Amino acid sequence: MTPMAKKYYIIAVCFVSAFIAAVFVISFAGMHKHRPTIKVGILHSFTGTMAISEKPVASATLLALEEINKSGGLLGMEIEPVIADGKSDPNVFQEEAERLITKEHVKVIFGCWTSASRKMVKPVVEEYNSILFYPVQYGGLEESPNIIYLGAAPNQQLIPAIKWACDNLGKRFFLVGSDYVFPRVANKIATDVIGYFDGEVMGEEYVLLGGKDFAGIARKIREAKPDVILSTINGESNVAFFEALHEAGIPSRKVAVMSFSMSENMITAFRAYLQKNNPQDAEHTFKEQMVGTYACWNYFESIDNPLNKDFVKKFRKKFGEGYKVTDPMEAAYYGVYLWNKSVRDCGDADNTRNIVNHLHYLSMMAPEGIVSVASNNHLFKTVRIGRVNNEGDFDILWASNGPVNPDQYPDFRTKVYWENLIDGLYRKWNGRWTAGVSPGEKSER
Amino acid sequence: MKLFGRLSIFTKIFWTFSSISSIVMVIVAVISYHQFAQSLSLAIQNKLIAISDGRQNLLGGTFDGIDRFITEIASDPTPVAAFERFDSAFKEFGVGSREHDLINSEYGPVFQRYFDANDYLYDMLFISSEGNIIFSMKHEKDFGKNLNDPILKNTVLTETVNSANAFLSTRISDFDLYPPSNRPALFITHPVFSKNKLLGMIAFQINPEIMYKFAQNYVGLPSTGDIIFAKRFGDEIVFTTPTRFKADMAFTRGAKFGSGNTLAMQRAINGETGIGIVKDYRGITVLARWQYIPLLRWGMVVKVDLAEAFRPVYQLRNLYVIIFIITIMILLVVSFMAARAIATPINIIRSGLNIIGSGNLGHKIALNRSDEIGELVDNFNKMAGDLKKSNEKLLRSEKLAVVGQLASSVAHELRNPLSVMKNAVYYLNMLGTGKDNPDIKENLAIISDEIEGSDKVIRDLLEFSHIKKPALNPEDINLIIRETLNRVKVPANIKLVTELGENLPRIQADALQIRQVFYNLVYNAIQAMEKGGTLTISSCVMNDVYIAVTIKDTGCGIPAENLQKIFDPLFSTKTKGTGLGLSVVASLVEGHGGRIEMNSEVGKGSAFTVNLPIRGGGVRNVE
Repeated sequence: MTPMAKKYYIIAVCFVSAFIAAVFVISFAGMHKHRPTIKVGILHSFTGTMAISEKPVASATLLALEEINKSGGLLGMEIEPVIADGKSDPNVFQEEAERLITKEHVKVIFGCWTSASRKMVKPVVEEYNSILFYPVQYGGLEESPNIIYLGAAPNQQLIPAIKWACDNLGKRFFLVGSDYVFPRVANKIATDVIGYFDGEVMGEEYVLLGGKDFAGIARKIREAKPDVILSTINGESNVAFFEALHEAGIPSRKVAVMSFSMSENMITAFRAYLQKNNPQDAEHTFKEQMVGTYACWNYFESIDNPLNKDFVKKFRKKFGEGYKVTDPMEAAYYGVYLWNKSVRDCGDADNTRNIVNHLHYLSMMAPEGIVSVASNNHLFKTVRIGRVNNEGDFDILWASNGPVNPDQYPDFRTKVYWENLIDGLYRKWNGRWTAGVSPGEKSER
Repeated sequence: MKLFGRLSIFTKIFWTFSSISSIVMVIVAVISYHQFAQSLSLAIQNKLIAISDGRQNLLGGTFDGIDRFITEIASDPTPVAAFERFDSAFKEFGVGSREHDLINSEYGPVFQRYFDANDYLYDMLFISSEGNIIFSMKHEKDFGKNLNDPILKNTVLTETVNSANAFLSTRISDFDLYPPSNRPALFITHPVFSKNKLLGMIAFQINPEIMYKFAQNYVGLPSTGDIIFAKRFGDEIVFTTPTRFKADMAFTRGAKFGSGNTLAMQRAINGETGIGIVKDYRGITVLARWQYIPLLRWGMVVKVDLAEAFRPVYQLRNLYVIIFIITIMILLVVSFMAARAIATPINIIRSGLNIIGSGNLGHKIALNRSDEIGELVDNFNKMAGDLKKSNEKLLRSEKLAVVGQLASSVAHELRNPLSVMKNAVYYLNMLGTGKDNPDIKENLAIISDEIEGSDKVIRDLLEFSHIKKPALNPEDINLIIRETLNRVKVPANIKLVTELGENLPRIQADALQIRQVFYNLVYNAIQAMEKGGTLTISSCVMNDVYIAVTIKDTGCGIPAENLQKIFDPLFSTKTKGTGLGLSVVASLVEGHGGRIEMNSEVGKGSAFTVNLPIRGGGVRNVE
């Protein structure tokens, strides 16, 4: 090599090295640049009376999001959950929903448990054209282009349970509920339905949400001698109610209880309560009072299919043995996947109309079976009736033949009638969705 | 670049060109094929998805519409009133009674309007809370029967009535053979309420042709495209509509769940949505989009044979391969030509240089090009030629110097004895020796002749060794020629022809030296024609630059191999020659700045042309 050629060679090598170094620096810098994420809101009560019910639902939501992020995220981006505490207060739910949408710029909110909180969030998501995935069964009588109702509509829980009770347990019903919008509406519907099935309503009683005084009600039940108690009692009140029945000497074999808001968690809570207060009799009382009661849900932890077994295993692995998976948790979990699928197909997390429209008739295999979104934003769901066994789990006694199409406005009365009913309750409670004075508190469903 | 060290320049250039261009070709081809193929296959997939989603929405819209319609009828006072009247008429009189017929004729035209407006309606049934079919538009075998009747017991109608009864909402039945109508049927059932009482059910029996229509619209699908609907029956897949290639497909059984074929349909029925390459019910590999139809609990598969779906991709791939091969071939040819265009002249120059380097300075590198390499070669050839000439000149002048020295000393040494010998012969002749003896006389003459010859040799030698710088004066060449010819004794058998040009300019020349030149050439010519011939001497002006004097003989000629050497000193073809004559000629002509050229052919003769420069245009000799 001549000196001249050597010089050019060195210059060329320098240029090439500089170019490669530049490419590295740029790509490295690009990697460290803030990558865009898709923000989603998790709006549940982490404090207050509903926290015990809602925290596991939030965990289920987060688990699904975590799984999606682990498998590559959504549209090439990571999903970033923004967690907000509704503090068991419908007003806080409303404020937090607004904050999540306007300040945090979340694309969707997964959240709410009580209908009271949902009804406060509804105008917010409608105003800002956002989406709420609501994971809990409810009384129906509502529709919104901005809410996906993942839980059961009345014809997917309440009505078939009454029919099943009429056919299997008897036709004399006693209605008990927490005093807020869902139980009131549910019992209104139940009264009609019991009539259609030639049944009889022996009584209808309410306690404030979170209330524990069921002694009077238990007495009335004993006097009325119903075949079936339809319970729309929510939250920890369930424990007090079953204790009151026990005190009143109404064991489950005498009067059947069909619950609509009592999940596996509440059975565990009742057992724990008994063991704390009366360890000697705890097991006996449990068997007398809890074993043999009924519940109607779309999902029970005991559903026997491989998908559900894996699903339950995932929770146990993450949260420990003995962790109970409930219907709203399962709904919250696949709700995330439904949203994920629709956004993925639409290629856009911002266009609410597209995402909701694409959800219509979208199906997936969930632990409870196939679920599909109907054009009324409710889901096709399988209905199941279970009975508590000695282990505190549900034995599934009956299931619908496949998913049932949702009908949130029972057809036996007009939509106007139902809406007037709801309005009447709202007015009666002075612009609230719950009865009583409980400040910033409890309500389930 | 050790890698290429042993390879020829052609190989290096060829491989460099062809490998760089091939690599670029391959990269470009792979990237663009990948890009095209991906967008093509995405387009095909999107088409299937669009058709599948469209069909899903069509089904959804249709059944939502039917749901709204039956809900509306179930709460419309007219049909509800009719229901109650049919119910009581049935209970009291039964079907076929006058009372029942009367109600029928009253409401028949009203209900007929539903059928006119909705082509999906095959029949409308009223089912009382006791399970009796109290009204039917068609009056088929089911009319008047109870759902527990064997003909109805396990039908989709009974199933959907029970279901609607349990959920108190619209229920869509399975699509299956309905024996009372002897055709497949699907029922949509809705409860009828009146005054807080559940009266019974209204059921729409849907025309199977409408169900088939959902499948039998293949717009937008390629020729092998098909839309399949199926449901689950126990462990098996049951097709619910005819397929494009099998009109009697409806209600035939397909593969079992868990088997390899109809995987797409199994997934669809399991509620999954997706797209992929699978084997269909015929065992053919297809690109399929699968989707669950929640309203009917069916699976839907929109598919197209893979071979057809990806035909554009395959065609593209083939096109790419062909273009690729052709381009690579062109690239190889171009590389080859480029490498050769560069390497060939270099090789020619190299081998030429080898020859020249080995001493053959006269070698010409034969390369006719008008480009830079051609110029290089021309210059090199000229350089080598110049080098050769100056080499020759050097060699000759060295020789001349040696010969000159030698000649001078030999001549001086021999001249005096020759003079003595010449005087002695002269003296003997004076004495009259051999007057009477012809032998002596003859031998004396021989001696005298030989002395004369030797003297000429010595003169030549002396002339040769004493070549001086010419003393230039304007001279008339023709005059010098004539003077020369006067001094030469031309034998009788030689014819002398002179063709001297007229009006030749005078030129600057040394008359003595030029005369010597002409003398030597004429002398040689005469000697070449021992057997006689023609000696031609001509003069003329050449190009206004030279005066050319040609001395031409018709003698024996000079062999080609000697042509180069005849001007060398001491080279002679004649037995008696010193080999200095032409050498002297050449030296003298060169001394005048002239050139000497010669042409010779063995057996025909030689011609020597002396070109003398007309310096400064010469001086015209005007006569």
